[in-house]
Amino acid sequence: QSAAQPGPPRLNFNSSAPIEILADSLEVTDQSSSAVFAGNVKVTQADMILRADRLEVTYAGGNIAGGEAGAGPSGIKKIVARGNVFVTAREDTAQGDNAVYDPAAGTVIMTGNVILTRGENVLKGQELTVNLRTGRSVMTGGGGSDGRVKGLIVPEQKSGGQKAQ
Amino acid sequence: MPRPTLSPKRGPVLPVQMPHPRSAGRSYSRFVGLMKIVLPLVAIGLLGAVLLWPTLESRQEAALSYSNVEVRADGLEMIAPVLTGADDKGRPYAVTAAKANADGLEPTRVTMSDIKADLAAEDGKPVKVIAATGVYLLKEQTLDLDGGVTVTLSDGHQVKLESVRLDLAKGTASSDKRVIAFGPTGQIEANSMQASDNGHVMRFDGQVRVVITPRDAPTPASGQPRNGE
Repeated sequence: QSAAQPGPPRLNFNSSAPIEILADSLEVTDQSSSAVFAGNVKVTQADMILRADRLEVTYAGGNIAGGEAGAGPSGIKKIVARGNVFVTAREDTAQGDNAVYDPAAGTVIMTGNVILTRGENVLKGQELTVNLRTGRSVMTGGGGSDGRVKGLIVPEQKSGGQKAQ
Repeated sequence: MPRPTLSPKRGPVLPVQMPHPRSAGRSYSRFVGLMKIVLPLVAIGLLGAVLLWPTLESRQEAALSYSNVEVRADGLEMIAPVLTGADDKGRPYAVTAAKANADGLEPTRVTMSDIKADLAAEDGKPVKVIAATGVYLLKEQTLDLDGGVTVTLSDGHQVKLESVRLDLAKGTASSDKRVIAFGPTGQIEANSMQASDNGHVMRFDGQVRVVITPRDAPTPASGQPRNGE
């Protein structure tokens, strides 16, 4: 891993803020406990915006009816964003072909032509893993001209830290 | 259609055969659970199942009684009809209307106004459905509710639609007008919606907007639905 970058971009999610999702269509399928948003998908939470062509949300499956609504699991098991994925949070942006948000692990993994920018800082690679709890992002894979750009981005600790659901 | 039998006690009782799509009861419960936890769309799922008249496992008799009936040249007008019965789990339901007009003693079409349905959800909690008008086509087995339809659940989820078409045989519900559902967990809006497979699959099209309010978030003032822009 190369040395830490100056002024690392920070992608943080305020996980308790309301989430707004806009899309052209939504299909919810009970059997597979999934909801698929398709067409100009835009997800906004606090000052984080995610855009993608398609968003697939998977819920904790199993006999949901059994669990009382309130006490049930937090609900979302995984979110997969596909196609022209852009994530912006204040002055940081990350773009790639796909992204997977795993609430349990507290990570967002973006893959495919990943470009991470902050102001003029740009990092290119094939896979970006953002740890939402520590705010630590790791970019791996050859994206730059020399084919082996790797970057370790260690943002300063956010006061109060993250409370991941 | 079975002949209405006149029973002295409470006016003519028309035994009504309730066509029933397969096992809506169980599928309904899983859908409700799913929606409650994540998308606040319980009532739409409910719409798929409950509004398909009672979700009876097998064809069961339901009793349709009315306080007064007028037989007229063009058909039968029932005043304050009450359709009562119980679903496969024995949960009672009662559907009332201000009036219902059948286009004859062997009706092919029943129009109703000011419809109210009191039902019990899978978990036994009360569900209320109101609709301004309804047209039930017996042969096609479709029920068109119009003029504003509201489905309200005990846990605060509610769905508001302009109109909805229910295909009782296929177990589908569809609306090509703006629909909005909201409740403690958030809100959903779209230009149109289709529920199929007894509410198992829900599809929304056109300016879909979903707002999910995480449980521990301070309840934003946006509890009230914004009318669709």
